[in-house]
Amino acid sequence: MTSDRELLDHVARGEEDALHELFRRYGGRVGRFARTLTGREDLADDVVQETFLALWNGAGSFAGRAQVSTWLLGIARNQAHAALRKEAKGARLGSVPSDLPDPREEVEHEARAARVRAALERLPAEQREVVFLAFYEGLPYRDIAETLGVPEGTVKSRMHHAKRKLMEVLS
Amino acid sequence: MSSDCELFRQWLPWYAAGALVDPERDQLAAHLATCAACREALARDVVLVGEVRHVLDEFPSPREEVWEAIRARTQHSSLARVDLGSFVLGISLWLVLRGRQLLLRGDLRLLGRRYPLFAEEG
Ligand SMILES: [Zn+2]
Repeated sequence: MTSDRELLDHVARGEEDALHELFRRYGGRVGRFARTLTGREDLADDVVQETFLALWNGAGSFAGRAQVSTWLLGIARNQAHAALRKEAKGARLGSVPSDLPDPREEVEHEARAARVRAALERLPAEQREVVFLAFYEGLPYRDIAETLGVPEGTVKSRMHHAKRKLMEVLS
Repeated sequence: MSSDCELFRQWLPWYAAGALVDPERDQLAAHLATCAACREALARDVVLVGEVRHVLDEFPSPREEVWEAIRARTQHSSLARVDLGSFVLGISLWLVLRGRQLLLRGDLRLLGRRYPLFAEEG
């Protein structure tokens, strides 16, 4: 299988097939990250689109230090913030209308998942992204600190606060 | 909870997500072997990680239309494109605007494989 790095070289040469392959590999992860950050499906689609276009235009500038996937998530994050700024003038960045769990939900597991989702969406955006990158992407806190451009201590403290709120709905 | 525990608890969520790296991972594993309270806390974190992943897995992947929209815009950025020939033997040439540079790109296609026509520049 062609490596991500090779695909990126092909993208830098203007080969659309290579971009399509990266979209197949990472579109889902970028989309879920965008959905996590923006809280909205329609905005998430826009963010995915802008992210892969930024990749198309900027593939030649990839420094090669991070993994391609981490780099993509970094681009997606910038695009998500830009989309939210453009979208919600006056609204708090990344504050999300959450689907409150339906009390009639029959299956306990589904009810719990709904509670977790609502709690996740109520988290401040900067905590939500740390949770996503650690729990879903499995990124070490150092990599997260680098991706977000904040000190490691900040990453750990955001996780601490996020965890406390998420734990409440599990108990 | 000892002051050691406080330090280790910060690492627990990453450990639970398989995202803690050495040397911290080894240090935490050694501590867990001796500390029941931290093992219990780890178990709670593992459950939490599982729940969060479950929720995030439910978010759908981007639809094919999203790719179509991207493609429409990348083609817009390639200024001109010529495809000649067939699957067996063909040539594609296209002009790409990258930053302020105008680049001519091309492929020779032979039996479905592609060979770049122009040397890559660094
Ligand atoms: Zn302990």
